[in-house]
Amino acid sequence: MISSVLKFECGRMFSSSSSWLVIAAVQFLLTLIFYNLLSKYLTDPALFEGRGITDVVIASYYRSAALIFLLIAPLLTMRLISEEINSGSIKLLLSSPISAHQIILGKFFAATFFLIFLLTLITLVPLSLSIGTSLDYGHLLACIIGSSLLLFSLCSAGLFFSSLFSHQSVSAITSYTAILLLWTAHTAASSEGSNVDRLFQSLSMSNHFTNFTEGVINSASVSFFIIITLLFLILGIWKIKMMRTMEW
Amino acid sequence: MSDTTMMQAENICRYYGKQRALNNISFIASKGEVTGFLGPNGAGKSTLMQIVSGVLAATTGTVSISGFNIIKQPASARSALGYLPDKPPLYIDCNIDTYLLYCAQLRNVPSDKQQSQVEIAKQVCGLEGEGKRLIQKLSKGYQQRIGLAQAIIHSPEVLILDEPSSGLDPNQMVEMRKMILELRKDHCIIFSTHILSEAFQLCDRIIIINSGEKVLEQPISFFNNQSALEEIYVKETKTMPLNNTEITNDL
Repeated sequence: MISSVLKFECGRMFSSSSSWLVIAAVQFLLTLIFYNLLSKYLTDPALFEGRGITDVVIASYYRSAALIFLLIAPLLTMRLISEEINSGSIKLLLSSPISAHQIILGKFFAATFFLIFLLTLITLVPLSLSIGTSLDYGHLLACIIGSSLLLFSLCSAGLFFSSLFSHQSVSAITSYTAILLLWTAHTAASSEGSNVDRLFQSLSMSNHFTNFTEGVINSASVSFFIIITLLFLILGIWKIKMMRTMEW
Repeated sequence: MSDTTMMQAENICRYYGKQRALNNISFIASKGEVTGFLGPNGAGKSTLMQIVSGVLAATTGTVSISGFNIIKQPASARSALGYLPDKPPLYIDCNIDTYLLYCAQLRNVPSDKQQSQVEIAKQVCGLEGEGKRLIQKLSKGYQQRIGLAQAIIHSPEVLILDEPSSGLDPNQMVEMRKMILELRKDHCIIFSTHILSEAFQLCDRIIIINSGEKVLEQPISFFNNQSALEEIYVKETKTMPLNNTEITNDL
């Protein structure tokens, strides 16, 4: 049943011209960023104090990609359930022998499949450097794993906020708010190093993602993204179950 | 529950906060029978249709479909019912075939039978040869037919139709009624409407609800003609006090 929802949602996403437009725009933008980073590195490598191309160009490239993911993930996920509530097609799902977790997981995997496809495409750009130079593949892999985990978190958060509202724009706005709060949580921490400060630091999505772009696959950061993903998935499942007791 | 009983609803109550939408509604529906729910706008018909189709939970009371409790055995109960809401639950960016195939998968139709069930549903609803057309390009009447096709795609024992002919032009209404009459042979049909002529033509049994209460349940033979139905309907729906804002202390 999860695979039916996954296939159907993927079919809708990949048959939509706006999805391909998003892919093209992201690809164009990131290729431009990559070109700029590479030009800067090649023009004056001494500026980077002997750091390798993976450390300078590729890590910055994935940091830029993360910011773009923050912008596009809510746009992609906002319609997943909001649209169904608004159009009334949610009643098809609720009257069918499909459980709340199958609905949420099917839609979650569809959204992540699309974004992982996008991640694969944008990974081809730094990989092209391997033709002319040797890359630190371990570091590159850490960037890819970090980006994937970030995408899982963004999709599950977006999906949950989509289940809360019938208007897609409201879902997107609340989703942006939650994601940006998590991304910038470290900015609320002062330099005193108190427990509260440490809490803000450890809740920062940006801090955890930076670990990956520095080539470190840290178990705390991996757990952070998995917990965020699971938390929003559970909330989404709970919300679908609650729909049966609420007013339409 | 007799052998032919397909649906049993007992003491259904539904509250939205403190506002009571349905109060203590019970009924039984059998195979080969069309049960019509009549009532003015806001009487609670759609809420009741949503509850018996498993979309909404009753605050108290139970619903059984083919012997399966819709809350305790949701998968079995929902496999045995098809539901057409007041607004057809469509994905307008899909074509008819893709949409109906998805509905067949959601309704647990075995994979080797999905395609044939799609063809049968299209045939019953007059959609042959239209499979590749985008749903958003179709008229309201055709969209309603697709809504009916998704409800019968898995040959359910119970068919729940919420105002199936609302928004249709007279020709489309006639077509929709023909389809319902055709479907009654193999299904237990429950439908809501506020069109008295439609109820008189289609139903074997009429249940009138007003302000969330069941005020009358009679076989169609009870009404000598449509005028008698109209007379009783007007009388029953006028005499009940409005209780939409009634606040109870039960909760």
